[in-house]
This record gives sequence, C-alpha cells and structure tokens, in this order.
Amino acid sequence: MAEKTALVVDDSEINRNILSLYLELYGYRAVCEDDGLKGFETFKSIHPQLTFLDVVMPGISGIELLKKIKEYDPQAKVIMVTSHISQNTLKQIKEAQADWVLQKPFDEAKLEEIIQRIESA
Amino acid sequence: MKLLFLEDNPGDVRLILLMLQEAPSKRFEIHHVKRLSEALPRLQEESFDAILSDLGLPDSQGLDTLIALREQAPFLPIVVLTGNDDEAMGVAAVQAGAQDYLVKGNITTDLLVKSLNFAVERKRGEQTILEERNRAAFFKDLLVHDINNINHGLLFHLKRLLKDDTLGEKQKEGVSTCLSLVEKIAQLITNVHLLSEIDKGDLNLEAVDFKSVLNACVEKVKQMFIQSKEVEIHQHLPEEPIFIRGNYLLDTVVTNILINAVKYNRQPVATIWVEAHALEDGRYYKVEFKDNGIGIPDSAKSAMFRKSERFNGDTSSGLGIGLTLVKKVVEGYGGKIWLEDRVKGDFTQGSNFVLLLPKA
Repeated sequence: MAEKTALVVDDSEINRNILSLYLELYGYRAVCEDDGLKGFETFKSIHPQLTFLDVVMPGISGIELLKKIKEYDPQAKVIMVTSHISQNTLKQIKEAQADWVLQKPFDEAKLEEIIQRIESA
Repeated sequence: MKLLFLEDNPGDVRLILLMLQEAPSKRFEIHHVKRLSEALPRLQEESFDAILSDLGLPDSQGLDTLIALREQAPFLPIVVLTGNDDEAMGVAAVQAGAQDYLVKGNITTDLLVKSLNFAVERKRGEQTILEERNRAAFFKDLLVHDINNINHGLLFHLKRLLKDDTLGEKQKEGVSTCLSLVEKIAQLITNVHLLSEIDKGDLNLEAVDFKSVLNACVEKVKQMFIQSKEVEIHQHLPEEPIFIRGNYLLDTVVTNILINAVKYNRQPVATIWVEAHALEDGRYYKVEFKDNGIGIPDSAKSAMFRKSERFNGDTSSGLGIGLTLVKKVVEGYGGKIWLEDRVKGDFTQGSNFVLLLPKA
C-alpha cells in the first residue's frame, strides 16, 4: 500500500510540529507549509489524503485556500484547524465545504475520531 | 483654532466670520471655501483643528457632505450648519458622526464658540474610546489566538509526557499538576472568547432541547472529576420535553454551574439535584441546581456574578469568569439567574442556582 500523506498548512511552528507528531502516530507522512500560496502549490504536487489548514494566516487565509483546494479537487478531504472563532467565521467555513473543523486545543482522541471518520467515509 | 469653514451663502459667510472674529476668549484662524471639491484637497494637504460646514453646498447636499468630509478627515471634529428649522437634519448628522450641529438663524457668538470647543473635546473622547476598544480587541486576539496556540502545544507535550513509562510516580504527579493548570488556562481562554462573542450581541436564538443539553453536560462533568471526586446528579424533571429559547451557549451555562457545585464541595460525595418546572405565566421554565457544597454567605451572593468587581483587581477568588459568563448568557436569552441557599437561612448546607429560562 502506498504511503499515506497529509498536508499541514499553518504559520505557527508549534502547530505544525504537533500535527506532524500526531499524524505520524496514525501512519501519515506530514508535509508542512507555513503559508497559503505555498500550501496550494504543494497540494497540487503531492495530492495528500488529508489536508489541515490553519484559518488565520498571513497572505491568503485558510478559508480562501480551502475554496481554492475544493475548486481544484472537490474530493479533497480538508480539516480546518482553528483557535476560538466567531459563529460567523464558523458559518463561512461550513459554506466553503470544509470536511471538519478542529478547534485548538484538541486532543489525540478528537483527531483520531476525525481521521477514522474520514478514512471510513 | 485652525478652522476649515465650508459655506456658499455670502450672507452666512459674513455673519459667521464676524462672530468668530469678535469671539473674546479664543482666536480663530479661519480658512473659508465654498465647495466640497475645494475642501477635500485642502484637508489632504494641510492640518486643521476642526471643520465647520454647511451641509447644503453647490456640489454636495445633506449627509453626503458630512460623509465625504469624514472620509477625508476621520480624526477631525465636525460641526454642521443646517437650514432654518432643520433640527432633524442636525440630529441625523450627529448620528452619522458629526460632533455637533447649529441651526442657522439661531446662532450666537457664544453658542458657536462653545459648540466648536465642545466638538474638539468630544472628538478627543470618542478617539480615546476607539483606541481603548482596539487595544482591548488586540489583547483579546493575543489571548485567544497566540497564547491559545502556545497553550495547545503545552497541553499536547504534557499529555505525551504523562504516557511516558520511564517516568517515576513523583515525576508523573508533577506533570499531572502542570497539565491541570494548563487546562485551567485553556478554560479561561475559552471563557474570554465566549464573553467577547456575547458582547458583540449576536446570539441567534433558537429552540434548544434542555434535557439533552443537561444529559450531555452531566456526562461531561462526571467524566471530568472521575479521578478526583465522587459525583451524584439527580434529575427531577417533568415528563414532557423542555424546549427553551437559547443557543449553543446553554451547554456552557449548565457545565459551569455543575462544575462549581462539584469544585466547591467538601462532602465525600458531591450531590446535585436538578429540578425544573414550567411557571404558571407560561413564559418561563424555572430550573434549579441545588448542591451540598460549601455554600455562599448572603453578603457574597450578589457579587458572585459581577464581572466589574473582578475587573477592578479582585482576582483572588479563583472562580475565573465562569459565572459572569453564565449570567451574561442567561440574560442574553431574556432569562434571569440568582442564588439562594439550598436550605433557607443556612448557607452552609449548600447553594441553589435558580434560573428562569424563556420557553421556546
């Protein structure tokens, strides 16, 4: 079976490291980018099974990147990683067809649940 | 005071200039223009202390004049002149951001000078409020994004460390303590976020199933204390479903009340009785959370929900802002919350949090 790959786009190094470590536990190789435009280019070249996007980033925001990715590949599985956000932002994320919203701080159980649901879907 | 004066009517120009020149207490340096199109470039190139402007000009009418001036000079105080008997336009202008208005035909030297002076001070006050609000928003963002990120990292690494079998009992205990402190920080950050959401005022109320929210919260709270405290929660609720007018924050309300009842409790088993019934007026459900905790003396009861006291520096009570949040949410629903003794007259027997929640 081919190696499973996940893309993590987040401007915070702490978060990139955490997600990489978690994802390794579930058999994913994590490829990380620290800004949205690089993230989109990498998405197109590696075709990851899972994509994790930070919502608030300099340059293009996570929501804009989500829209670009879904337009490019409607089948892409995208998880939006957020801090505390307003109900309004949450609505925008849902309208942009995110597959899941993961609010920080999250724990291993939450991430495992998401990965399992997406993998079995 | 360096004043930009917009007026096209020669009679009004003469009158105002005369008044300002004869003002005994203040010197005015007046720069007069007749059109908005002359005023805008001047505002861009020079600095003024205030603007005095007729709203009806040859190239701009009514509030459009004010809006254009504000856009060009957002930090300058503006006093508008309105036509005879046009109070309504003056009020509309103040609502749209002017600091004051004067009705032509009723202007005296004293009134004009006073209005300009007040406008300058009022604008300064508005500016200060705006800056403070931005500062508060900046610190809130710092907390709910940046510090939350770091805290998330701490939580993650502490949890991993706790699973490390090479750690001795003593080290594990230390890591556990750190973890519970970091979890408290996480809760505090969540509450700050929710408070600011409520302050924005957009609650989007809908029908919420109280019983299912309560059941979920009961499970969550029991789970939370599973290692540290035995918890019993008895429910005495009517048979029929209870739908209240609320939103996703009802969970926060119930969780906070249950946690408080368990946390401030010295009995071997923390017991909570949740009771609810519809009031006869048909508008509210009365929901009571009674506990066998340490109780709260009458002198402290009303302060329990008061945010202002905590914001004045008294942060020693350790209650966080959970109850402030609870009260804000309940009141946002159009409900009420207060505190009674579980056994009337003897606070040491525990507390009773009473809520009136509007029916959906």
